Formats: sequence, C-alpha cells, structure tokens
Amino acid sequence: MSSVFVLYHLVRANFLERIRRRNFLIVLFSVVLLSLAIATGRLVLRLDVYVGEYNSAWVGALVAGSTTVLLCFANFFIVKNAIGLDRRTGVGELVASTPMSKFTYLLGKFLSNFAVLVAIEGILFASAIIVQLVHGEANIDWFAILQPFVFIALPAMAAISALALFFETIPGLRSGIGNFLFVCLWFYMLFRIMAFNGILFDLPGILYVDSVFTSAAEAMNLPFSGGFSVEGGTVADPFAQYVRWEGVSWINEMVWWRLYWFLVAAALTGMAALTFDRFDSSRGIQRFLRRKRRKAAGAYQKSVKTEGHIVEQEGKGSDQFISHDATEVCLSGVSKISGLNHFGRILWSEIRMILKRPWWWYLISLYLIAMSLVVPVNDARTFWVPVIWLWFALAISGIGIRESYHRTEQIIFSAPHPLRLQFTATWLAGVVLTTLLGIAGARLFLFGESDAAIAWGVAAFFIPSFAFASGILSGNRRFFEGVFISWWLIGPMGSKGTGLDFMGVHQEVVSQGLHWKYLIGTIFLLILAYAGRWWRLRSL
Amino acid sequence: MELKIERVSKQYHGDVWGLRDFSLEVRAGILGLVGPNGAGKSTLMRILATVTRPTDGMATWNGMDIIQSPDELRSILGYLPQDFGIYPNLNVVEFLQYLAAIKGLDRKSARMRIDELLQIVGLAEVRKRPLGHYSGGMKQRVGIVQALLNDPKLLIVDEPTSGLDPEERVRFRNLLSELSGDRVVILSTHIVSDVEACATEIAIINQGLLMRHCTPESLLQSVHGKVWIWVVPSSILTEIRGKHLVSSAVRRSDGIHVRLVADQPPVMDAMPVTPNLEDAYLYYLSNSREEA
Repeated sequence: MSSVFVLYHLVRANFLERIRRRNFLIVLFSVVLLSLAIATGRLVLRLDVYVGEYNSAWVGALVAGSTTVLLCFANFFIVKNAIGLDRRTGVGELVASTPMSKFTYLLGKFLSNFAVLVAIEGILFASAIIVQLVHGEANIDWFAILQPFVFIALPAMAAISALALFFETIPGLRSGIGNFLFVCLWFYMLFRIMAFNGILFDLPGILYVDSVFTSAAEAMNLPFSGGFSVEGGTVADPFAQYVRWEGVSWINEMVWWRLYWFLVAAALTGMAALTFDRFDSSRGIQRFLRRKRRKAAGAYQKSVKTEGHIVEQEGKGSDQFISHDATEVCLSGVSKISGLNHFGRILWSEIRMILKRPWWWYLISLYLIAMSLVVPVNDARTFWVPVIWLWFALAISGIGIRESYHRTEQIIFSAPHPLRLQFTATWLAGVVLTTLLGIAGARLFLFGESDAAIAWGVAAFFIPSFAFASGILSGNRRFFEGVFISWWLIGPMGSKGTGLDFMGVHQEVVSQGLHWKYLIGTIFLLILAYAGRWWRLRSL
Repeated sequence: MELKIERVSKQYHGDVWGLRDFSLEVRAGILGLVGPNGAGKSTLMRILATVTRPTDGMATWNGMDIIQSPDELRSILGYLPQDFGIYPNLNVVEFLQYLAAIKGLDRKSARMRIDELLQIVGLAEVRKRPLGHYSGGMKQRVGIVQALLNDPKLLIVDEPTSGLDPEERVRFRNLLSELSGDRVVILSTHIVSDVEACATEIAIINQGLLMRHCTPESLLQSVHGKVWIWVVPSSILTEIRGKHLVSSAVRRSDGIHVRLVADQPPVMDAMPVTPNLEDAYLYYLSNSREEA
C-alpha cells in the first residue's frame, strides 16, 4: 500500500471523526454568526475613514482578513486534539502497532488539522459570496474573492495546525499550561507586530493586509497613510467614505512572507515527529516519571507484610485474584447516610478530587497564597489574587467533563441524585476552593472596600461556574482554557478597566457596579450547566 | 424482592430498535442474560441501571416505578457497565472512597467495605498504585468492587468477565454465586459457560426480543435428545457446517468428532449425547433466526 494511500485514509478518518463530533457544531455556529455579522455590516473593515464597496475584491479581503485575525487564535484550540483524540479513544495504540512511521502519522494529523480549518474557511468563502450578493453586487469575480483566502488565511491555518500538533506531542504542553503558553505567545506576537512591524511574527497577516491596502490606496490616489481596523457594532457609519476597491496584484514581496508560514508549519511538524512518544508513555519525560513511580511503588511493596497466602510480586501477584479460596465471602454490611450528611460527604469528596494534584502544584499554590496575604491589599487585589485564580482555573477547567472524559458516566450517574447532589457538590467544591485560594481578596472587607470585596466574591462564584458550564456544554476543557486565559489577559490584567474585568481589579469597573451583571451571568451559566447535565443524563 | 419489566421498548435513531416489547420478571437469584452481539442486552442493562430511559414500557422494583423514580433504585443498585473508565491519577482506595460518597455510604462502613472487597479481588496489595498503571484485568476488578460497594440488592453486571483470565473468571463466578442469596443479580454475557456455572434462571435475547426465559434445567430438557456426536473425516467438515448446527468440532485419532444440534440424527450412526447450555442456546438462537 503506498504511503500516499495510507496518508489519505489517515487524514480522511480523522477529519470525518472530528467534523461529526457534537462540539464541531458549536464551531460552525460561531462561524455562521461571524459571517452574519459581516453580511449585515456589523463587522466592518475600515482603512482610516474609507470603507470599500461590496465588490468581490473587497468582500474577499474583508472576510478573509478580518476572520483570520479573529479566528486564528480560536483555531488553535479547535484543532488541538488530533493526537489527544487517538490517545483517549485507544485508536492510538492500534496505530502504534502498525508499520506507519511517526512522521507519516504526524503529517496525516497535520493535514487533518489543516483540512478542518480549511473546511471552516470554506464556509467563510461561501459566506463571502453571499455577502456580495446580499449587497446587490451580482458580478462575482471568483478569483478576486479567493486570492485573499489563499494568501492570508491558508498560511496562517497551516502554521496554527502544526503549532497545535507540536504542543500535543510535549506532555507538559498538552493541557492548561500549554494553552496558557500559547495565549502568552499570541499576545507577544501581536505586540511585536504592532510595536515593531515584526513581519517574522505576522501569523494572522495583519501587516500583509495593511500593505496591500496601502498600495491599493496609493493606486487610487487616496490620502491614506496606512493602518486598518476591524470594527463591530455599527450598521452604517455616517462618516465613512465608500470607495470602489478593485483589488491589487497580490503577487508582491509580501506574498513570500506569507509562504514563509508554510515553512514554519513544515518545521513544526518535523519537530513534533521528534518529540512524539508514539503513544508509549514510557518514553521521554514520562519514562523518567514512571521510573520514579516504580521506585516508590517498589519501596511500598517491600514494606507491606505478606499475609497467609497473599504473596505480592509486581506484575504477577497483582494480576491475580487472591490465592486462597475466594468463595468464602464474608462482607460486612454498610450503613447509609442521607440528606445533608450525604451532600457533605459528596462535597468533601469532590474537593479532594479537585485537590488531587502533584506536590509541585501545592508548592506553587502555597507560594502564591502566601504572597497574596503578605503584600499590601491593593497589590493582592490587582495582581496576586488574579494570578492565583488563573492558576486555579487551569486546575478546574475539566470539572464539567470529568465523567465523560474518563468514561465514568455510567457509574457516577447511576448513583442516587446525580443532579441534585452530585452536580451541586461539584460546582460548590469549585466555589469553595476558588474562594479559599483567593482568600486574600477578603481582606478588602477589613479595609472597608465593600464594593471591591463584593466584586471579588462574585468572581469566586463566576470562575468555577464558567468552567463548569463550559465543560458541560462544549465537551472539552480547551474552550474554557482558551476563552478564560484571553479574557483574563484583556480584562482583569488589561491596562484599562473595561467590561471584561470580571474580577473587579480596576476601581472604575467596581464603581460602575459591573459585578452585579457578572452575578446575573453566573446564574445564567449555572442554569445552562444544569440544563446541559440534565440533557446528558437523558441522552446517555 | 422482584424486578418486573413490562413491554419495554427502546428506539434509537430512525428505525433502529434496541428492545421491542420486552417483558420479564426476575426474583432473587442470578439471571443469566445471553444473546449474540447487538441483541439488546446492554440496552436492557442500561435501562435497568437507570442510565438510559426506555422509549416505551415500564420497569418496577418491588412495585416502584424505576423509570419515573430512578433515585429510589439507585441507592440499592450495583452496576458494572460493559465499558467504563477510571480516574487514572487516583489510587483504588481514593477512587472507591469517592464512589462510596456518591452512593451515600457512611465513612466508616465504606472504609471497611473497601478493605474487604479489595482483599477478595486481590487488589489490596496494589492499593497505593495509581489506577492509570493498572492492567485491563485489574481495572475490571475495580469495576466489580465498585458495583458491590453499597451492598446492592439489585446487582447488574454487563460482560463482567471480559478481560479476566480463565482462573479469575471462575473465581468471579463463585463470588457472584456466594453473593446471590438475598439479592437479584443480572449477569449479561455472551459467554454461555459463565451462565451455566452460576445462573439460576436464563433469558435468551435476540434482536431486542425475549426468546426464552426459564431455568437452565428446563432449557437443557428442551433440547434433550437433540444433540449428537458424529465422527467424520475432516474433508466433509465444511459441508456439515453448512447443513447442520454445529456446536463444536474436536479432532481425534479416528476423525473429527462433530457435536451438532438437530431434531433428528444426521445419520444412523450418530450418537446422542447429554446436551449442555451452549447447545441449547445455539438451538434457540438458530430457531429464532429461522422464524425471523
């Protein structure tokens, strides 16, 4: 069988599996909403005061340019599950037992990631045509619409596909920490583009779009000094000057810079082939950790006294029922608890479950908590508590999907009151721990800053509710991690107080009483989470 | 102690039915639920375990509707699904303590029960090891333990012996027999020997329909005089398989000893033998296919 044939089937199977998953519908829905915003003029591309008429060249640039900037970031989280899916479903082990090379496998996964993103771009391309028709421009120039997609969107999608794959092959970057690093990388990239015209960092094609618009404006003799913006919210801008944009020759030196991202994608895929463990957790870093665990397990087994016929040897005794006659069953009865006692037991178990973390997690948490308690209250409020909550949010990002991710749904949900008790206890465990970790914020009460303290309290409810609802509704933790980390950076950690400051870090936001809106949002999220869990219980 | 299933149906998408008009009454003891893959066994188990709801019909436990009031049953239910997962970073005690809390067991009796059950299934010595490092058979034993954790009155086990080696299978069957005295146990499997070893009643299910519900003895009685051993040369084995219902073929020095189930002897020199449950199962399954 030729490797092209193998590759084709690898890409096809992976692509079909992913686009048929329920959460891909959420992606499609978001893309359609975005298209709708463009079609109705709620999302516009402006060059200073100029806005283009809706001909093919403008519509292509508008849709491809604006959506690449917006979607590039989200796409990383959409495709960062190619290897994870195989790892979770067990397909990975089947693949690992075939003669397929690591590089072929990863190339297939890269192409599958790319195919998923191209499919999304395909929808946007179709929407671009609809946008043009909606605006009464019947002469469709297919080539003019397609060009911006080819030169702006595709290189970015290729690089994002490979970057997500690379992250998946590094054990430490697979989960929340990797997502956090990506968000930091992304903002650093934007900073380099904006501040230094760093073309080497221009993954979303911002400088490229700027360059082609500038040259086109020059060709039309418009007084335009460069720069463009993607704006939302307005249906028609009375100050906008409409110009007929006929497009430019896309073949200039900037095109080569766009192709550069394909090289980056190739390099990242190659690097991923080096770091990929081929579903063997005993390789690389995992091997080191495993050795340590084995050592610990060996030490434990030596310390266990053997009883009667029970002789434990690693890999032997543990694989057998005990050697004496197991038919002599003598089990003591059980006593059951109910009501508040039962709820308390579940809550405590949920707290323990969330706190089941490695030692270094506790070390970092203790350091952060200690710092937040000893620094001045304003420093705690504006920096240390937000940092602690980001740290903890990554730890609870999976609370809504724990049962489905680990396939324990049938066991857990066949226990009494999965909604009334277990759902409530899981959520409350998140709230209790968020509050305790960010306890330094309670000092605001002591200093008489009651509004800020209430905002802190609302955030302690909002964060776990958001994590819980996101997990239940999206079916993965990446959605929460991606949105939360970006939100955290723009909102609470942003230089100005905006409506995105859900932690009440900026005094002007607190003064506006924004926390009350977040409280309503929290209740809304809980209702959504409850409905999602109820529906899941019904559809199992 | 009575579990009653009345005209239960489960329709999946389109015209795909997991169960159709399925009725059954079960009392204390072990009911062996057998049927081919896709027969509807797991669908029935999931309905009885309150994990999924039927499209139509009713199921009651001691007169209580378990579809309308599932939580009443859940407190006395033990369920081992066919396919289940574990939390890989917990050890077995932590995992079971968590499940004990969810099932509403008090801390002290949960601890005692966990210790006893881990001893019985031979996991006591590896109790500190993260579950992610357990073998498939060990994970299956964790599943068995969690099902028995709350001393269930209704124990539903779906393919419990899959992943266990032959010795473990025998021990598990013995354990099930010991436990079955004062509770209803429903054992779903396609391994007929598991049912033969411990079931007090048997239900054959195929294509979502109940084919037969009786004691193993009466099932065996119904194929009495219909099982034959026929010694043939290996060259005609394929032809015999095409014409008769062959339950096994063993190579011996005098030829192949073909064990087959038929109303009449295939040839005059075929020897009648005592039927086993596998013969009876194949006979009823074959009949149901012909009727369909």
